[in-house]
Amino acid sequence: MDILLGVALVLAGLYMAWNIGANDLANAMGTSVGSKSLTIKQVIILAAVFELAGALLFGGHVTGTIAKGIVPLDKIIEISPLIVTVGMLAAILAAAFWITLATFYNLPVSTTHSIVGSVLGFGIICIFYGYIAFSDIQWIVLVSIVASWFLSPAIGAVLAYIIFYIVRKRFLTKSENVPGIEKKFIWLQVATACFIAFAHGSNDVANAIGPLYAVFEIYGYGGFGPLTLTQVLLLLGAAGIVIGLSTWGYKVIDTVGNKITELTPTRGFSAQFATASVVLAHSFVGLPISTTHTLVGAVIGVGLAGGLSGVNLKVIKNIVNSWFITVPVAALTCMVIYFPLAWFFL
Amino acid sequence: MPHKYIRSILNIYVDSPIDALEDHSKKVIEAADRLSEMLDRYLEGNIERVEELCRIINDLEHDADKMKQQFQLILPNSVVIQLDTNDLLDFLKSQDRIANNAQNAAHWMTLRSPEDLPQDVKDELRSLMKMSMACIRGYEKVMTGLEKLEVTSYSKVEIQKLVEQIPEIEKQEFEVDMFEVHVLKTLFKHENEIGGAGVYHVVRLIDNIGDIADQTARSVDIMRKILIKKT
Repeated sequence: MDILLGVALVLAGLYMAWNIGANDLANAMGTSVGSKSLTIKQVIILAAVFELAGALLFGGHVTGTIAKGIVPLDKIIEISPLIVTVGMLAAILAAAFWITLATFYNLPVSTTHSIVGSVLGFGIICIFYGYIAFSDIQWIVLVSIVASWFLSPAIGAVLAYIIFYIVRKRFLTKSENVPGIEKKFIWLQVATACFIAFAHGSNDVANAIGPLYAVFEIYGYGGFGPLTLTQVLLLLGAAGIVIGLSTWGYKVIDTVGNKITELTPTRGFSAQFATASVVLAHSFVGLPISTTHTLVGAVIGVGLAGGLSGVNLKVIKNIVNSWFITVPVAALTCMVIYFPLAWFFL
Repeated sequence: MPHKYIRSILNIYVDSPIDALEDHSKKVIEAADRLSEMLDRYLEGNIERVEELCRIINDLEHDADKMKQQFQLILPNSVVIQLDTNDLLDFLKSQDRIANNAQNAAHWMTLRSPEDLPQDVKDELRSLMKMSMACIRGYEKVMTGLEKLEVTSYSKVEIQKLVEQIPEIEKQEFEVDMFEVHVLKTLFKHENEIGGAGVYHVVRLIDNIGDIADQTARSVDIMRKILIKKT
């Protein structure tokens, strides 16, 4: 493999990971700071430990789906491994570009949807050049992934609603000492903060390193010492995410945490526990979903169960719009980036 | 890199309508407090301070009006809140009328000098104002308690505590009504001393001060309906 391409891939992967840590993980962890369960420093330390653990223990399934589950790379490798290398570089650059743009405009775009869209874009290029047939794309896997994007926020909302409803009926509405109950929930929320970082590591690290895994595996890199190639890359991705969280995400945590003081430990626990459970379940079956969108669903669930003074459902419309826009835009951007790269490297 | 490089989930959250109602109530209560001070200064004949307090009450009423208009902006159709939006708007309008009544009383006071008012009428006007302010204090306590409702996700215990405070305010309002009759009787004993215009001025002043208690009782009654719906 061209060393230039290798370095570019690693840098692009790290940039994606940085973005995920700086924004997505920061949003997921922000609720713990908002409820004063943890300080920002404690959040960063816990997130680092549990993000790495989640990535290493459960991150392999989703990585496999993004790397090989949608586009049959084996067939393209037979023609030329360099096509896959350039294609995956184009995919990760396209996703990174779209995420950067979305972040500047505070659009609720998911890194997961971006990377799936851009990998699909590479698949369409391969169909265009006749490297693979249209039917070679794993449409059933793709449909399952997209269906899970619709379902995961809904399941998150229902689960969070049920959890908070029980907490409210069982503890809050009957008690004479609500602050005392909130105090007791602080430790549960600390535990769910760890759980959400773990779940995030198991699902979202793949967004940054899935394309890297697809390429490095072709060239037979077997890992480093006792670690397999997947583990090395998962560690790299998780490290990038933690760097993103500690170099920029703390500002997002601060912004989110200071503005959502309404999310007390009982409410934060309900939202985070529901989100983490849904995300981890999807990681287990290898489906890449958006942690942030699931968290939005869970917060709405808590709000509708009486945990917040109100929720603005306009955000649902914005998220649904982003679902329909992200995949085509990321796919098209991947195609636009692929052609000059292919002209240069192939 | 600019600080706005942020993708956050903050736009799910909405400003609390209860906080907005509380902020509005603070303006209303301050207007009533200033009116109480204004009556004391008026009866002492400190006209300069009376004029100054009238301007302050005007400003407070204007601020309350602006807050009332802004309240509707935090509740677009896409926002789902815990309480009925129409009920909250009814309460807000009712609460706003307390400030309007304070302003009416303040304006009316500036129209005539109190020099010829007999001491017993002055004393009873002070007592009437004190009784109306007792209603305001009760209402203030209810408004402060609302904050706790959100924290406890509208705990039945907390709702009950607030609702139980309301009959006392209504009792105080009834006592204000009765005392108004008493002050009027005292006033008419002096009709020859202060003349028709003087009597008319004090009658309207009594009405205006009494209206503050009436409107406060109406507001807490609406609040009770809002709270009972949550139990």
